Amino acid sequence: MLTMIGKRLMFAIPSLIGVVIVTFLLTRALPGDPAAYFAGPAATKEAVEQIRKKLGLDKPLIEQFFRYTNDLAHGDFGNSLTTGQPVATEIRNRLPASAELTLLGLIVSIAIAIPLGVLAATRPGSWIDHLCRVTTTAGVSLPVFFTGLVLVYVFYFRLGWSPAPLGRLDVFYSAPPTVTGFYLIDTLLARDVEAFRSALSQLILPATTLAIFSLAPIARMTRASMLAVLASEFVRTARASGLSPATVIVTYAFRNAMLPVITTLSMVFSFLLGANVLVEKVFAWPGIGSYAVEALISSDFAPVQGFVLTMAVMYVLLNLVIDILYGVIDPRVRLEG
Amino acid sequence: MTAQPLLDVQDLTVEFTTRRGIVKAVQHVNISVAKGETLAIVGESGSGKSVTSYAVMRILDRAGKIAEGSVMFSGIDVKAATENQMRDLRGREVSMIFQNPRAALNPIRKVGDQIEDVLRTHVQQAQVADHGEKAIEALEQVKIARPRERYHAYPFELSGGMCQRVVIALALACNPQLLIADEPTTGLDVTTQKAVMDLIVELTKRRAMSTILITHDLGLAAAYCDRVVVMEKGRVVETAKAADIFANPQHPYTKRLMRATPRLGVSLRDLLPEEEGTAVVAGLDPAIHHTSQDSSQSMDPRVSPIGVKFVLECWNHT
Repeated sequence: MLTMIGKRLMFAIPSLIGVVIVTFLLTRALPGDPAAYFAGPAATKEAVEQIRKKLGLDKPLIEQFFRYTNDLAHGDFGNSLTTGQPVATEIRNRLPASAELTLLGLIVSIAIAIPLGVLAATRPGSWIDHLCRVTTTAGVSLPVFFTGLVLVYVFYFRLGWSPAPLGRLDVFYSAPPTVTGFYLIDTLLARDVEAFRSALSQLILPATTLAIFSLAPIARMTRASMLAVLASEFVRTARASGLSPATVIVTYAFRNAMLPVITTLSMVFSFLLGANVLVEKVFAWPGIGSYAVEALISSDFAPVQGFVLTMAVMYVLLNLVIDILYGVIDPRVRLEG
Repeated sequence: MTAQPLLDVQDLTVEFTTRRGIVKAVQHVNISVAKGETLAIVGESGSGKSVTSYAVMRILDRAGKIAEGSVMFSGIDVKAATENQMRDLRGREVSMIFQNPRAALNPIRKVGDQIEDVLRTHVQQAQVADHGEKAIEALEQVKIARPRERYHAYPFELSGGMCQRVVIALALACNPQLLIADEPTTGLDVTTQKAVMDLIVELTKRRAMSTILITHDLGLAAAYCDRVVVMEKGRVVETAKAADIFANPQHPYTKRLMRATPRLGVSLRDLLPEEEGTAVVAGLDPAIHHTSQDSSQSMDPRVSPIGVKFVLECWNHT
């Protein structure tokens, strides 16, 4: 198992190098001149030139690239031009906010989608099957920013059940001391129940938005894969051996059906990382998605590069986790690893 | 035959609800199996042999149902029994061996665990000290070498013949009274086929079990069974002692089936035109009967295209 993990990490290195090169080139290819942007509209040509020189943007591309990679090797992602803060620090502060939101959304979605898919598959044609179909169709056809806005409108503006969509905590509470960066966990560690409640109520709407978005593919895949497995020969053998329906469905059908579902999960998770950008905007969530968008608008290279690189590392880690899960479930994969 | 057969199927009709209407896969079938008897159900694919056996165990697909007739198994009315009663029967009193053994086993579960699942379902903890040991014993009985190690093997780590032995061990783990073997040797190579058949016969004879062997291979039926039931298009066309049916087949379909069986010294090309010759077959659609497809196949004017189709199906099978 350990050798497999090591091997997979080794395979990830070339793709990470590729990501570094591509993001560097892409940010340079983007329209907009950061020097002009920071000099402001009233700046003279000389002032812009001066800023360009200061930022090192007058150097040839290749030299800029080597300086960039050299800094990266020292853990320096550069400084954001807008905030003046080191990118590494900002990402470190903002990543937990995004991760907490995404993970909660995914957990909620899995908790609903998988039972829904399994029940729909075991009772084809029943009301739950129809419910599954309706939910999945609705889920794929609603864009996240729209669901988010509708939820805010209904639960905050109309019903007043939810707090204002303004970040991770109500202004009356101070952030808990950072341990994991996840407010739900940190507030509990600090035994601050009130703050925990506040953090949770802030999380519910954006997490639900993400959950609705990711529900559809997971439920659909679970249903399809369960149906296929339930029709397979070894399930017939299990039935012909008189095993209880619970054993047949859980031990025989479900575990086999999980393999394609896990693949879908990894894809959904990557979609969620992308969808995050919009959800964070709608809910004023201080995550890395909104950070990257703001940086992109102001042609601020360093945060964008930092963001893409962070995402790439997360994809690699995610795929590793998926591979390990596969190995746990399917002995045939274990052999190859 | 004893007065009270172990399995008594009377006038069985199985229907499947499909998009194009109701399909009667099995019609008015009568089959009985005495205790300790070995019965073969022979027929080409689609003749309803497997559906009959699924109906006996009541493991038909959702779309299928027993529409008419009765299935009595050692005094239990299978049609009327509750699902719980049926579950208790399956695996404990009636077991089934399927074709394609590798697909019949859960690919991601150790074979030993799969046998143990069956034991756990049917044998109380009080009766056996250790279900694991019992599972190893079951593997040992089907002559799997080093059963203790093989217990931990996954199906993909075993050969096809080995997988079929595991399936047999699984089916016989609880000492059922009736074993239904549905094309148990399909997909195995010839030498393994014989070993598997010998094993099934040896184990069932030793335990005085009744066996239903479902096959399209008349040779297999002749070699291993007491009686033979020939099915065609969902109906039983002939039932006879194995020795009699081969010496003196009564029904034209049986005769054709026998002539369609490849034998030593007969090339497949010779088998083809011999098939036909008889006109009326029970359940045959007369409309198809007259639409000749390829009369150049044979000079015999009595040849029907049905015969040609039939041979082709047989070819696909073997």
